Amino acid sequence: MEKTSRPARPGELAFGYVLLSLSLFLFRQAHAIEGFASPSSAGTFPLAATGLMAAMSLVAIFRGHRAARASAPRGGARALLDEVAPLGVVAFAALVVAYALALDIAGFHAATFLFLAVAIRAWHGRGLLVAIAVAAATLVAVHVVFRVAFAVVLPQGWLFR
Amino acid sequence: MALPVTDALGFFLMSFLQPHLLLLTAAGVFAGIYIGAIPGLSVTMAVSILISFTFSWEVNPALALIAGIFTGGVYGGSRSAILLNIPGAPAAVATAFDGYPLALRGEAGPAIGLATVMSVIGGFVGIAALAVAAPAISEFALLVAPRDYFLLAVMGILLVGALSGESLAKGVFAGALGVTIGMVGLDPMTAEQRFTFGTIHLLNGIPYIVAMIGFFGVSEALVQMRDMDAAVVRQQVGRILPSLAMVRRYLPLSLRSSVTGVVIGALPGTGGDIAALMAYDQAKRSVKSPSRPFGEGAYEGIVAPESANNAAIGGAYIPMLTLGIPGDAVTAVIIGALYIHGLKPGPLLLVETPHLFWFTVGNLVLANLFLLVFGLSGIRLFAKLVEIPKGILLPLIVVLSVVGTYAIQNSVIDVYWMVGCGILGYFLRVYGYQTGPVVLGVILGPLMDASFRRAMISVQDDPLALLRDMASNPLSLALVLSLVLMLASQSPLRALLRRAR
Repeated sequence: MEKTSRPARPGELAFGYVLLSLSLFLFRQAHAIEGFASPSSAGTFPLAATGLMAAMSLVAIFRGHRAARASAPRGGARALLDEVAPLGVVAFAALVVAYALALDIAGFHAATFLFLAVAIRAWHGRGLLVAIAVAAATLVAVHVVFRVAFAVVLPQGWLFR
Repeated sequence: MALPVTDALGFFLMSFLQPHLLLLTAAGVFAGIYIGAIPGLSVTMAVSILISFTFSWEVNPALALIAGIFTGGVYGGSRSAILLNIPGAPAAVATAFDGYPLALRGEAGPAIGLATVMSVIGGFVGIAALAVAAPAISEFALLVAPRDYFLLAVMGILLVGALSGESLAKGVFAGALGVTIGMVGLDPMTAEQRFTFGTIHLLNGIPYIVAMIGFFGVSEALVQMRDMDAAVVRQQVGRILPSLAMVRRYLPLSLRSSVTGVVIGALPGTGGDIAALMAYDQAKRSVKSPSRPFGEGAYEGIVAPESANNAAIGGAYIPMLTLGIPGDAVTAVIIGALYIHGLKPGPLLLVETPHLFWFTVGNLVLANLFLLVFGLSGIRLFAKLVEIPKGILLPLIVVLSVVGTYAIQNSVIDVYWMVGCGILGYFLRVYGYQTGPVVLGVILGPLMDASFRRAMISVQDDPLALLRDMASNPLSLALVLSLVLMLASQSPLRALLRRAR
């Protein structure tokens, strides 16, 4: 299904090269497993998969160049920020990473409460008290459903142990 | 299955007549719908978690609860696919293609209603196949050689790659990336380390549910965060019950798709996910004048995958109960449960415990009846989910993704992988790579690897001998031909031929 080509997005070619480098790096790793020992060896399939990744990212880069020639994408950091990684997304992603890291330190309940309170305050925008109330209520609901009803184990963390 | 008819009927009706079994089936279906619908919580995970409660129970109540959750969960994934464009489970990936455009047009109600009725029809076809044709289909499944498993898996990934995204190249890249992620860890055949980078945390690999939650849950939250300013679509879910004319109109397609679902479900390793995609593709090719173009809100695009994925449940039970081979991930978990209850799934199961077979058939019928009731009644309540402000919903999706990921093997490392997959998935999607093929690659990669190598070993590593085998076996030949046809129809070759004409 070849769709009609759309104009290239800012950073698309750079991303294509990142994927190509990743593919080549993984291909080297796959080669390190057993080389080209035999068709039924442990390394054959990883080699085929990573080789296919490299070939397909080359195709995507080739098409990206063609699309860029047809209509040059908006360049510069401004366009990248607008279309690919707006500040809101970067901030939310950073908050999610911080939340994941905090799980091991503060445990599920404290980390989740903080994450929810900060995220809801920032993106729902109804004042700190509302954010804290919603975060607390959500946490209680999650605890009752998963910890109590489904007996799911939740991260403990070492800070409050 | 040498059981007098009256006895068989007695076991068939058992879950209808015993209140506690009736209640457990209902509870299972209800819970399944909501667990399946919550993005990031898969029916496989729900079944694996709930099975741990049932270890101390008797076998019938345990099976009743599991059948209910399985039936409800496979269906529930369609609701979030339609309302949020997040397939609750891989089986609902295809439903989102047309379901979400329908919701954007304000037709979420009829879409969900139709999905419910078609799921139930598909479910009944699956059960009928399980009850009537089980021996015949299991014989067919016996003929499937490792090379055919391999071809089927390649087909599954290519199908998703070709169905979604901007180009086949990007789809194939995504599929190959998924296969590579699926290879991480110790090789199951030789215990050699693959892509472990010397760390013990990677020896067990990256569980596919982790990748699935990351690529579907967190990356979706990030994509939606990008479109934060976009107006929230108020879902018009007034009319839910589809008209009889509508059901009658789509019944032939539903029955055709159900047959596809049963066959794919009965093939070991392939379940509702591939069945739904195959049926969607079939519908796309065979329906000449859909209600709207496919991908823009065609009702046919919901009917086909929803009939097929629920029909695949009955199909998946066939190899499980007759051969002891799981039809898909959920039946793999159920096999584990049967062992714990002292039963031996396999050819002897039907000889030694025929009542179990008829109990299961009857119980699945009951579960589908409950599906119809809950599916057509709880939609208003469910649709409220989409009206939760994004500022609350998106952080909540992240929290549920964390809980779901951690529950798999109580590892914070898995949570890191999940977040990593989510961020990578965001960039892939922004640049036109779909995440569906990645996840399917992670699930099918190990199956492809193992079946390819078994096929190679069986011909003493001689690729030419493998090709000869493929050409001389009707099933393999049919699979190869359909694969070639599929590739040819997606490649620039077709456009060139058309231009030449």
